Formats: sequence, structure tokens, C-alpha cells
Amino acid sequence: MAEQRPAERPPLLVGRGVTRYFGGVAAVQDVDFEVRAGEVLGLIGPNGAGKTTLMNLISGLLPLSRGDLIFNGRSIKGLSPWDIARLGIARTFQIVKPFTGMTLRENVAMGAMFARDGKGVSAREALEVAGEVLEMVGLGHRMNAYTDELNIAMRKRLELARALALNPRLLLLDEVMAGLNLREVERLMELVRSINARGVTIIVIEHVMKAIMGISDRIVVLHYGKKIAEGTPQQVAQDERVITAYLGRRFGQGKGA
Amino acid sequence: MSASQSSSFARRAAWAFVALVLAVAAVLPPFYLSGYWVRVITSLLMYGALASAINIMVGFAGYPALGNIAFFGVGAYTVAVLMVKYNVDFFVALLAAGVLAGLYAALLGRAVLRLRGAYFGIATIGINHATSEIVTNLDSLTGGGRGTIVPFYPGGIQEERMFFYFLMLGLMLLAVGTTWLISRSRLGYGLRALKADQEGASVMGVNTTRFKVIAWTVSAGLTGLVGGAYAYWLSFLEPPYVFDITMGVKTYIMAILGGAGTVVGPVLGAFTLELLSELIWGRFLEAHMLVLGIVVVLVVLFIPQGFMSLFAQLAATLKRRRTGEVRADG
Ligand SMILES: Nc1ncnc2c1ncn2[C@@H]1O[C@H](COP(=O)(O)OP(=O)(O)OP(=O)(O)O)[C@@H](O)[C@H]1O
Ligand SMILES: [Mg+2]
Repeated sequence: MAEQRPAERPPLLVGRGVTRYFGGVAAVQDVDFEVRAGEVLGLIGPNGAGKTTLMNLISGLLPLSRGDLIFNGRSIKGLSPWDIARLGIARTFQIVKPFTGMTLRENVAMGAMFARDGKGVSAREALEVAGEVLEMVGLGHRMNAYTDELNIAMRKRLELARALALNPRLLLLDEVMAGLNLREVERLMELVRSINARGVTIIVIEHVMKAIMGISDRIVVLHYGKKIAEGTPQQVAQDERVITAYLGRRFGQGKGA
Repeated sequence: MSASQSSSFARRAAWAFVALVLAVAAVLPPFYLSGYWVRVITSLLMYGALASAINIMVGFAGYPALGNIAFFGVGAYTVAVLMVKYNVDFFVALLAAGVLAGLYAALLGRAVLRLRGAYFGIATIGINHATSEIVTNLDSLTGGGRGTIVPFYPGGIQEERMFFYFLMLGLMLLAVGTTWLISRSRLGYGLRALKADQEGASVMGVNTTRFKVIAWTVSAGLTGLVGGAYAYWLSFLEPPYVFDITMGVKTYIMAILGGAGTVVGPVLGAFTLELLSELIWGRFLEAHMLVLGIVVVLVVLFIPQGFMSLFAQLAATLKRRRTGEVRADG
């Protein structure tokens, strides 16, 4: 605990007035936020609040309608998803996107092949790295299986392994714990903590309150595309607007005064 | 340790033996077979090359390039025009055919590769028609609808047979070799990933736009080379001969039949279908297309993953049996 507190570290990603319209409707509107190097930032809000859209904007899958995103001191606005990936931003998908027709090992090797700073390695080397990453997420024993042989918990882990193989500086996790049982959630929380402990900055979207409160250093709350609150898990849990919009009385008061 | 070493040595020896048999089998035919059979096998080799080329798009990138035969036509007419109008040496013309066909795909790629699935397939069919029209209308250059006569191969009949046999064999090996290289490279992995999911591939650092264009360029370049060789072999060209969508669909079926996305599957598919087609043609002159169609439907129904999947299953069973034995021993 003697180390520098995340709050004092420089920001790794800054969003300024981040906005995205679909037709006339703003899915994300004028959101300002900062992710500090080394922290775990939780992103919560009701269904349709714009959480996934914000991740799509950061990873370059959607263009910004307005605003700017600055990663490591440089604007990433208008960059392609692959450029952004190579700058060191990796992500998982809420609806998993396994590469069917490839083994788990090949799936994960993709990350190492096209890794950060264009330092991707050859296919053969990448397959070795992939083995190690799969061990780390607990899929080492299924290395040569194909993705359609996996249950949902394993698929979520595969998403995570693939993103990790990119050796990212910033990791975006979109509901990796959804649909998992309590034991699996706890194991995954442990894994996320250990990844963070290696120096990877993380933005995590989760509806599982126990998980998000347990692993986040700070939390940003979205509601109808706007940021309605921000702070430590305790602060957010006590925030009136958050309680009305999302958490509800029971959880809010349970954690609060 | 030593056991696994000796078994890997045995496996390597087995592969070397298979390779030797294949090499001998590939070289012998033109020396011993009749002119008819040499011609049949030359066309098997040609289809092997074409099926391998389309497989790069269909099997790896997942783009149903049904109209890829347009590049065959472009290659054929490149050779024809260069040889007839400009007296260019065949091999130089052939090289130009490959390059031009590749460039043509690269040029079209950025726009057309935005379409996905069937829409892309339909667009390529349109490209084939449009290209055929252009070639027909460039009357003074291509001979238009009247066709054009390509210079004959300068040599005796036996020599000519050999020439085209080994030319097609070489092109097929080039196509298979290119596929093999792709399958082991970052390009191959990137293509397979984007075939499964483009967004997923792009956030993993794959420049999906560039990869698709490269794949199409390579596929078209190989197809153009084969078209160029075909023009010289046929020695008389008309647009419908080489911008033949039926032929394009046939190569597509061959690739699927053998195993889309595998290295040698398309060649197996091509050999099987073309040989079958040749045999059926002899027996059922009238109902030839019907019989062939039924065969294709049956194969696709019962082996949807293609011939190569049968081998993969067989290998898996054998392996299971062998490791089972090892466990019983220990
Ligand atoms: N590609 C799209 N086209 C049109 N509308 C979209 C698109 N993506 C998202 N939206 C809309 O934007 C809003 C925000 O959606 P988003 O998926 O970002 O929510 P979310 O916070 O991730 O919700 P959930 O918790 O259910 O995952 C929703 O109203 C959604 O319908
Ligand atoms: Mg979402």
C-alpha cells in the first residue's frame, strides 16, 4: 500500500466530450473521463446506457460523432481498430466473438502475431506465447480444442486470453462475468486483479455489483449516455442519482450510511 | 524421448516416400499416356490451380468469389493481345497476365470487398460480365466477338503436349505452394480470423481491409496466370470461352468439395470433379450435367466439410487408437 495511489498517477486515457449519435439519438453524450495508469476503472449503468458504445468508440470500431480520445498523450480519434490495437488497447466483447475454425491456441496466437507497436512475432513463435497465456487463464488443458467445444465460461476466458496476448497497456473488459456462476465470477475477479497487478490498466463493464465494487479503484456511472456520477465504489454506491437510476434502494443503502 | 524421435523419423521417411511417389506420378504421364489422357490430365492440373486460387478467397478469407473467373479472362486476353499485337514472348506475356489480373483485383478490391457474403459473390459475377463486355468492345485490340487466334506453340505435337502439361503442373504447384505459405503466415491467420469475425480480427490488430485486398490480389494473380496459359494452349479465344461463369462456379465447387481453407483439398476436389465429369461425359452424353449435379449434391450433403475433413477424422481416430495403446502399455 506504500506504492503510488492510482489517483496520483498520470492519465493513460482521457475522454473529452465523447459523443456518439445513432440516427438522432445520442448513445453516448458529452462524456468526460480519465483512466489513470495502473487503475481499474469500473463502468456501470442500466441496460442501454451506452457502456458498450463507449468501448466501441475507444477501440475504434465506431467513429466519434464529437469529442476526442487521448491515449498516452496522443489523440486516437479517427484511427482504425488495428492501429488502436497496436498502440496497446485490447478488448473483449460482451457477445463473444471466437474465431471459429481455429483452435484455442490459434485464437490466442492472433494476439501475439499482431501485437503492440508492430512488434508482432511470426506465427510459430506466437503459437508458443499463446500456450503460456492459455495456461494463465486456466485453459491450458484445452489448447487444441476448437471454439465450438467450449462452454460459456470458457469462451469468456478465451476472449480474455486473446486480448491479453496482445500485451496491452489498456484492457477493456465488456461483461466478461455475465452468465457465470458465483465460483467462476470469483475466479475471474482474481484473474483480473492479477492482470492489473502486472501493470495493465483496465476498464471493466459489469452488471455483477459484487464484482465491480470488488475490483474497481474508481467507478464511472452512465445513464442515457451521460455520465451521472464518478468516484470510489463507496461514493458511487451512496450517490442518490445512481441509486435512483441504477442500483435501487436496497443495494445503495446496504453499502451506504 | 527416443521412441518419439524414432516415430518422428519414421513419419518423415513416410512423407518423403509419398512425395517421391507423387513426383514420379506427376512427371511420367506425358511420356507414357495417350494424347487424349495427357490432355485430360493437363486440364485436371489447370482446374487444380484454379481451385487453389479461388480457395484463397473462399476458404481463407471467407469471400465467395464466384466471378473470380474474370481474372482468368483478363489473363487469357493479356497473353493473346501481347503475343498477337506486340509479338511479345509467351513467358513475358504470361508474367504480364498474372500481374495485370492481380492489379485489376487490387484496384477493385477496396470498393468491392466492403460487400460481404452473397453480395460480394454477386458483385464478382457482375465484374465478370462487365469485363467480358469491355473485352468484346475493345474490338481493334482483342478481336471482339469474332475472337482472336493466338500464335501456335512452335514445335511438334508431342513436344507441345509436354509443354502444356508441365506448364499447368508448374502453375498448380505454384498455387498450392502459395497457399501453403499463406496458411503458415500471419496473412493466413489474419484471413481465417476475419473470416470468422471481422470486428474481432480488427481489434486484434489485423488490418482487415489490407488483408482482404492482398488475398484477392494473390488469388486473381494466380487465376490470371492460369488464364494466360490457357489462351496459349487453346490458341483460339472468344470472350465467352474465358469469361465463363459456369467455369467459375465449377472451381468454387471444387474448392468446397475438397475442403475450403485447406492446402491440398481444392486440388483433390478439382481432380475428382473434373475426372468424374470427363467419365460421365463419355457415358451419359445427354444427361451429363444432371448426373454431375446429383453427384455434387450428394457429396455436399454427406461430406459438407470436404474431402480433407475425412482425412482429418481418420487421423484423429488413428491417433486416439495409438495413444490408447501407449497408455495400455505403460
Ligand atoms: N450499432 C448501433 N446502431 C444503432 N443503435 C445502437 C447501436 N449500438 C448501440 N445502439 C444503441 O445505443 C444505446 C446504447 O447501447 P449500448 O450497447 O452501448 O448499451 P450498454 O450500456 O452496453 O447496455 P447493456 O448493459 O445492455 O450492454 C442503446 O439504445 C442501443 O440500442
Ligand atoms: Mg453493453
